[in-house]
Formats: sequence, C-alpha cells, structure tokens
Amino acid sequence: MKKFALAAVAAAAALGAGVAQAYTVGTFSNGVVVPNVIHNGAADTTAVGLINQTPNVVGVFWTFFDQNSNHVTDGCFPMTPKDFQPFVWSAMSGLGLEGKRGYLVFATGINGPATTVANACAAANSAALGAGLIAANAFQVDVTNKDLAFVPVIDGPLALAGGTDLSTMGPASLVAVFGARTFGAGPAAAPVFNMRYYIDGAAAGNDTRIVVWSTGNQSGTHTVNMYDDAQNRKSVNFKLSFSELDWFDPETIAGRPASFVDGFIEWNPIAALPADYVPATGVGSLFATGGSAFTYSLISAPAFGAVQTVLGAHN
Amino acid sequence: MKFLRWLGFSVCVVFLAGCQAQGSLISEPGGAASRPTSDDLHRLSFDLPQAWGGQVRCGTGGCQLAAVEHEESVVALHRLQDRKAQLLDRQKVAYHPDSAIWLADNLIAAAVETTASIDVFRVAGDRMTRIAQLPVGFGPRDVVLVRAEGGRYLMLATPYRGQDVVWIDWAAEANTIDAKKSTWCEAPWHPVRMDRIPGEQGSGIAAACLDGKKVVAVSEANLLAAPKVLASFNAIARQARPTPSGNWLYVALETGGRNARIHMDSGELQWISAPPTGAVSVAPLADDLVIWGDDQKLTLQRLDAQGLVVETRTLRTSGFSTGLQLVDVDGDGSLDVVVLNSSDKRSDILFGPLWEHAVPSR
Repeated sequence: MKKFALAAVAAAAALGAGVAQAYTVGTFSNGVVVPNVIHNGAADTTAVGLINQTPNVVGVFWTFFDQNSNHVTDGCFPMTPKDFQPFVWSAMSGLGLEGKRGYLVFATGINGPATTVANACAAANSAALGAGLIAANAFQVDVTNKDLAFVPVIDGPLALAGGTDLSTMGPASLVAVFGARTFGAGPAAAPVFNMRYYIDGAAAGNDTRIVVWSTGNQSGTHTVNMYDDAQNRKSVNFKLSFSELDWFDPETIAGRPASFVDGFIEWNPIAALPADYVPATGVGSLFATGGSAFTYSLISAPAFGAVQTVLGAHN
Repeated sequence: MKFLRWLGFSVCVVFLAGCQAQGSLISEPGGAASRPTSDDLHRLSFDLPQAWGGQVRCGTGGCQLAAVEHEESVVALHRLQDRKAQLLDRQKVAYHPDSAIWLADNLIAAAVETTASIDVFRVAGDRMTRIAQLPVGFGPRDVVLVRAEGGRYLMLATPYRGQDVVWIDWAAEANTIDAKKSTWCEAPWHPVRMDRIPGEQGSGIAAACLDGKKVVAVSEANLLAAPKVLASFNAIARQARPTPSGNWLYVALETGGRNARIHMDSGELQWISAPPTGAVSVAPLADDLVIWGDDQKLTLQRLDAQGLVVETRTLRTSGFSTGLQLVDVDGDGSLDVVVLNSSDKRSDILFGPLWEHAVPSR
C-alpha cells in the first residue's frame, strides 16, 4: 500500500505511540489542541473525533490558526453528554484553505445544567472557558491511498489570556496547554526535548520531519546537539521560520555528519534567544514569555512501508 | 538502542577480519572505488569502527596504535608498519570504552564508561592482557597521562557528562591507587598537557569544556586547584590543542563560523575564520599552521600573526574525524596525522608532508 509522502505532509502525522511520555494525551479536560492540521480536499484531510464526558450539554468552540497563530476561521458545535463528534477538517474549513497548514484549538464554553443544544453556542457562552470534559483523537486521512495516520492531540486544560472570548481568539489568547511541556521564561536549563530522526541522506528513502508547536514565538535559528545512535554528538543549527507551528528536515541540517542517520536532537527552546530573532530584544519570543511546547517526529522508512510518529521526549 | 532493533529486526554485525594486514591507500569506506585525488594517494584507511579515542606510540620496534571500538566494546591494538595497519589483538571490555592511551611501551590504559574505570592492559608478544581496573567514580570520556615515574603513573580522567575530573596516581607493581577528584566545568572531554599556561609558572593541563563552552587550565604545581578560565565562547568548545612551541592553544568550536586560539604568554584570544559547520578536532602543526577536523575532511589553514587565514587546504578522511594525532608513523621525517573517526567503520592515517599533500581550496 502506498503510504503518505512526507513531502506532502509534515502533516501526515501518525500514531502517538503508546510508550511512556510526559505529555498528557487521552484525558478529559476543558479543551484540546490538534497541533498540525491540513487538508487538500476531502481525500486528504485531518479528521478529529471528540468525546464529551461533561455531565451536560456543552458548546465546543473551535478555532483554526495558521502557523503564525493568526486566527483564520472558527466555529462552534454542541455536544451532549456521552456524545461523539466527528470533525473532518476539509468539511469544516470553508473555502480557500486547501494546503493551508495550521492548528486547531477546541475549547469548552460556559455551560451548566441549563445549557441546551440550542443555546450551547450562544455568544454569551464564548465569553470564557467553561468547566468541560472533552477528549479527542485525530488522524490524517488519505483516501486515495487507502491510508491514514494518527495525529497526536495535546490535552488541556487550556490556559487563556484574561478576557479571551472563545469566538475571537487571537495569537496571544492561548497562553499554555498543560498536556504539552509547560515552562517559564528563559534562560533555563530545562526543558530539553529529545527529537528522534531516522534518515539516510537519500531522496525518498528513510526520511524524518520534526514538528514543533508552541504557544510562544519560537521562530529563529536554534543551536542544538545532534546525537547519533552511538553517543556521538555534534552541535548544529535548525531554523524555524513560523512562530508557533513549524517543522524541519534533519537530513538537511548543515554540518550533520553523514553517518548521523539514526539518533536524536536535543533542543532546549529557552536555553537562549535565537540570535536572529526579530526584534533582537526578544519581545514576544517563547524565550521571553515561556509557555507550552510539543514536538514529534514523523519517520518514513520505505523498508517498513509506514509513516510513524514518535513523540519528542522531554525532561 | 538502534532503530532497527527497536522495530524488532536483526542488525547486520560487522566483524573485523582477525590479525590480517588491512587497509589500502586509496580505498573508500565500504570499499567503493573512486577516482583518487592527490591526497588520497597518501591516505591509509583501515578497519577501526567507531574509534572514539586512541593513541599511537612509536619506539624502536616501530609504531603501534591502541584504540577503542566504542560500539564493539573493544580495545584494539594495531601495528603500523610500511604504511599498513595490522590488527594484532582485540580485547573485550565493558560497554562503551571511550578512549585509550599508552602509559608505557608495554602498558595501555582505556577509559570505560559502564564500569566507570580505567582498564589497564599489559602488552606482551602482540597480545594484551588486562592487569588492573582503576575506579574513576564516573563514566570516563578520556584519560591522559600526566606523569610517569618509577612505576607510578599519574593520570587525569574526564567525564562524558558532568563537571568532575579525577586525578589517579597508580602504582603499577603494588596495584594501588590514590584518586583525587576536583570540579572543572561541564563536559571537559579531552584534556591536554601544556608546556605553559598564561599567568602560571611551568606546565599545566588544559581542556575545552563542551557544554561549559570554555577552555580551562590548571598548573601542574597545583593540580587540585580550581581551574583557570582561559576563554569563554558562545558555542560548544570541542577540543583544544597546543602548538609544538607551546605559544598558542588552538580551540575547535562546533558552530558560529569561527575557531579560536589563545596565546599562552599574553592570554590574547584570536578568532579564526571557519566554515559555519565548525570543527570537532584540532591539531596544530606550527604556530601559524593548523589542522581542523570535521566530517569526512580535515581543513588546513595557514595564518598570519593576527590569526587571519592566508591559505586553506583540505584532506579527505573516512568519517567523523574527532581525534587527531600528529606523529611520524612511516619514519620518513614528515609528520603524519592519525585520524580517528568516531562514528564510522574506518579510520585513517594521512601521510606527510601534510600541507604539500593537501588540496588547495578554491
């Protein structure tokens, strides 16, 4: 079976493997983040499935942000207790968003015993986060190739800036997501993410795309230690061009020893402000603000005929 | 754990070919043929996988290389003769040996991570026999010989990670040790003996601290003193090595597009232009002529008095060249460079005269 082409999707996220990770995945809270979302029509789209365990009807407000966390579009749907809600991005995005990468935030609005399907999404209920218990799983669905892959979903609780309305969330609204790794401002020795790579230096061979999502502005050139599978290390740089969702190809890192084909990269997002960050004062940077970050690697190995996602371990 | 193992697949294991002469002057890693360049004609590549550390010792009986095979958990002994490498012996040690040095013509010391020890081997008749295991207290990355007198060997062991170093005074015959720990800086991997260091009388020991991003030194007059910081950097300081005159200490920096050298009298720091991908090893040939190691190549730079690069040349290697030693292996009067490649299957000896054999950079 033909599998996802990684060139088409750093998006094509696969399974958030069931190994021990400190990220929180698969729990109920007041919201979730799907960190990497894209569609190219109904045949190639991110699909999300949500479950509601809130003991009453709740309005789930969703927002699609671009890679710089600009608000692109939003909506709301009600969920009754014990409800399952499919959310197919190609069907929900509206027109003109084919090929536009971004991320989705789902948040429960104000709710209570009197909330009904009819009023769950009323304007008054988007004024703040409400107590909610939702969980989600996500997939990248490739109908043409009869394939799909899991996309890791970041559990809440969500922390929003004061005064945030769920229907008008902007770049500064989402302050932290506690299912990711949350931290204060830098400089600090932690967190350190260990991001897996498995490559071969050849086109269409073993390939890896490392996805990085955060609530702050992570753009700039990051200096990291790259390790092979035998403890060897080399200091190298990778660049993130978008502020809050981006990916990079470890195969293209300048200075990577050719024999470094299987290993991991150690990244501390707040070890130092990237030297090329604009403005140079660091205002607005993840380094200056702190926040939450989440990484995972998409690994394609043709010999095994599958794309897998490996969560980035962290301390 | 290797990815293939993780997925439950078997891994091809490469075994070395016993005690046979090996290596060729123009072969490539994996045996692939390629069109030789001028530097290829003076390069011996031979099987020595994941050579994290080692040392050549030349005496009346010729030259021998003691080295570790990191992933094979082996200390290996090679004879280097007639521009060929002959594997004489391989001895298993615990997981992840990181370096090996000669203590004497018949003694080899290897730093072994898992046992947190310096394993000492006696060499007799081309064979090694382990005779001692000296506790270090941490997983050692490197060991250097500071002093050898009357059957006593003073060694310095440095950590793969952490800030502590250990001075080990080993009496060989009685097999007793006196170990003293001191704190230096984060990951001072590869210490080196210096004829002099700035502001101190006499010789000393210097080391580049990878994660400490600095170069420190202590005087041999007081080895347990807090180390003096000679320079700090904003990049990983991988390795520092002195010039033969002792005038300069060259420092390989992994990123930032520049390396450095520190004057050992004045303490002056000079920046040296480098590729943005930096260097992981260094071997100065003279005050104004230096070799930098990186992946699959050595870069030779001739400098002016201010550290500006006058001319650059390159030599090809067989892997990630993290260990360099200048020594006249073939006895022709010119220095050769022994290149240990820490993440590949083969290591190299590039025969001198090195500058003349190197390819001018365009």
